Amino acid sequence: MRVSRATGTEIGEPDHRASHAFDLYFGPVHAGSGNFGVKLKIEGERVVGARSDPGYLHRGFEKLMEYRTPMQNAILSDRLCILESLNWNLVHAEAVDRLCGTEIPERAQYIRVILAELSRIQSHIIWYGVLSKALGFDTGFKVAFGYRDYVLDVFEFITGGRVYPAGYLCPGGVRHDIPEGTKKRIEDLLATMETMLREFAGYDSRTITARCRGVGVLELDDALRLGATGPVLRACGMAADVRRDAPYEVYDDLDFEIPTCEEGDAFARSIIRRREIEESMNIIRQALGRLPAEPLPPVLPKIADKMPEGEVYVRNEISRGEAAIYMRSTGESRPYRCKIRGPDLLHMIPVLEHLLVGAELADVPAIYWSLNVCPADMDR
Amino acid sequence: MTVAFPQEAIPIPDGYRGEHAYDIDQCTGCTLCARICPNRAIEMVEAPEDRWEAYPKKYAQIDIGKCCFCGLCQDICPSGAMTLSQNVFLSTNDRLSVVRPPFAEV
Repeated sequence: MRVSRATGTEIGEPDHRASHAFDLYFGPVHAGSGNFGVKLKIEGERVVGARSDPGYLHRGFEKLMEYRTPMQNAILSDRLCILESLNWNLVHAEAVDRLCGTEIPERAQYIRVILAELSRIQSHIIWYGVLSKALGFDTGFKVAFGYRDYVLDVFEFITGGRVYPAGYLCPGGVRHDIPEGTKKRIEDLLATMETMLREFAGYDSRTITARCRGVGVLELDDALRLGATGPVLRACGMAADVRRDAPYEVYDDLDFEIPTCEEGDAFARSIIRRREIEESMNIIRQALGRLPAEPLPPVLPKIADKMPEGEVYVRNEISRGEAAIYMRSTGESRPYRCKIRGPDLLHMIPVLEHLLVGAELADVPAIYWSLNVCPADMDR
Repeated sequence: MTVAFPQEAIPIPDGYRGEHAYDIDQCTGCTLCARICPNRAIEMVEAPEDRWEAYPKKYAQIDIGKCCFCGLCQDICPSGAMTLSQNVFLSTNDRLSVVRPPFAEV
C-alpha cells in the first residue's frame, strides 16, 4: 500500500474498470505539455491511471546521422534538443573526438565548458518560465524569458546564432575562436543572472511554493529503479553528476558543488535547478579566469574525412540529466550507427507515470514540468 | 531589450550567420559548397548562354528555404566567394523566390 505524502491516507491500486473514470488527454497539442501526450484516467479530481504517449516528435535522427559526415552531424546535433543545443553539440563532438583520437587544444576545452554551462543556465531559465506558465504564474514566464534574451545575445555574439549555434562545439574543438570582448560580455551577463536569481527567490513566497510543495514526491529507491538522472535524482538526495563521477573536458580541474535536496518533491527539484544556475555561474567564472591565451585556428569542414574503425560510448551531464551517444564506425566518413540516449525517455515514461498515479488533476502540470521533460531528446 | 522597431534596431554582431553574399566573380566553380551543405541547398547551375564566355563554369544557386544557415559553405569556400552577411530580413510571401539563382534576370 502506498501512502500519499500530501494527505497521509492510503492510495489504493487503480481500478481501471471504474465506470465513472474517464480518459483525459494531456497533450500533445496542449498549451502546457510540449510535444508529448499523457493519457490520464481520472476519477473526479484524482488521477487513477496514466499512460505516456511518446513519438510525436520523432524525426529519425539516428538514421539522419548515418548519412552525414561528422561536421554535418555537428550541425544536426543542435536540434537533438534545441533548448540545450550547445550541450548536445558537446556530446556529439566528444563522441567523434574519442572515436578519431583527436587531441583538443586546452583553450578549446575551456571554451566548450563555458558554452555548455551557459547553455545549462539558459535551459534552466526556460524551465522556470515554462513551469510558471503551466502553473498560471504568467509573470514568472515573462520575466524568465526576458532574462533568457541576455544569454541569447551572448550566444549570438560568440556563435553567430541566437538559438541555433550551428554546431559551434564541433569535432576538433570549436568552429572558430571566441571574438574580442567575449570575456567582458560574459561577465556582464553573469551580473545580470545574479539579479535574475534574486528576483526568482522573491517569487518563492507565492504561487510556485503553494503549488509545488509536497507534490510529486519521488523516493530515492523508486528514482533509482525507474532510471531518473540529473536534477530529478539529485532532488531525492543522491549526489550523482557525470561531471563529478566521470569528468570530461576540464571539469576535473574546476571546483564546484553538486546541490542535493532530501524531500524529492516538485519544489525540491525547483530549488536544485536554481542552485545549479549558481554553480554554473561559478564554473564559468573559474573557466574564464583560467582560459589559456593562445589563439585557436578555426576548424574547417572537410568533404570526406574518414573516421577510424571502432565504437565509443560517451556520456555527459546535460541540464536534464545524463545524456550519451554511442557511435560506431566501420572506417567510412559517415558513422555506421549513432545511438542517442537522452535522459528524458526514462523521465517521461516510467517516472512520470509513477508520479502521476494518485495525484490530483491540478497537480499534473506541476509534476510534469518539475521533471523538465523534453520530448525532443526522447523521440529523437 | 525591447526597442521601437523599425525606428530603432538592436545592432546585429559581425559574426551573425544571415543571408548569403555570393560573389560570383571570386567563384572558381569548385563545387565544395554544394558538396558540404548538410541540406543540399546549393545546386551548381550553368550561366545563361549569352554569358558563357565570361562565366564558363557552373555557379552556386542557393535555396534559402532549405538552407539552415550553418555557415559550412562559408568555411569551406577556398576563394572567399561564399560568405554570410547580417541580413535577416528574408521573409517572403512568394514561395518560388526563395531559390536565389546566381544570375539575376536583368
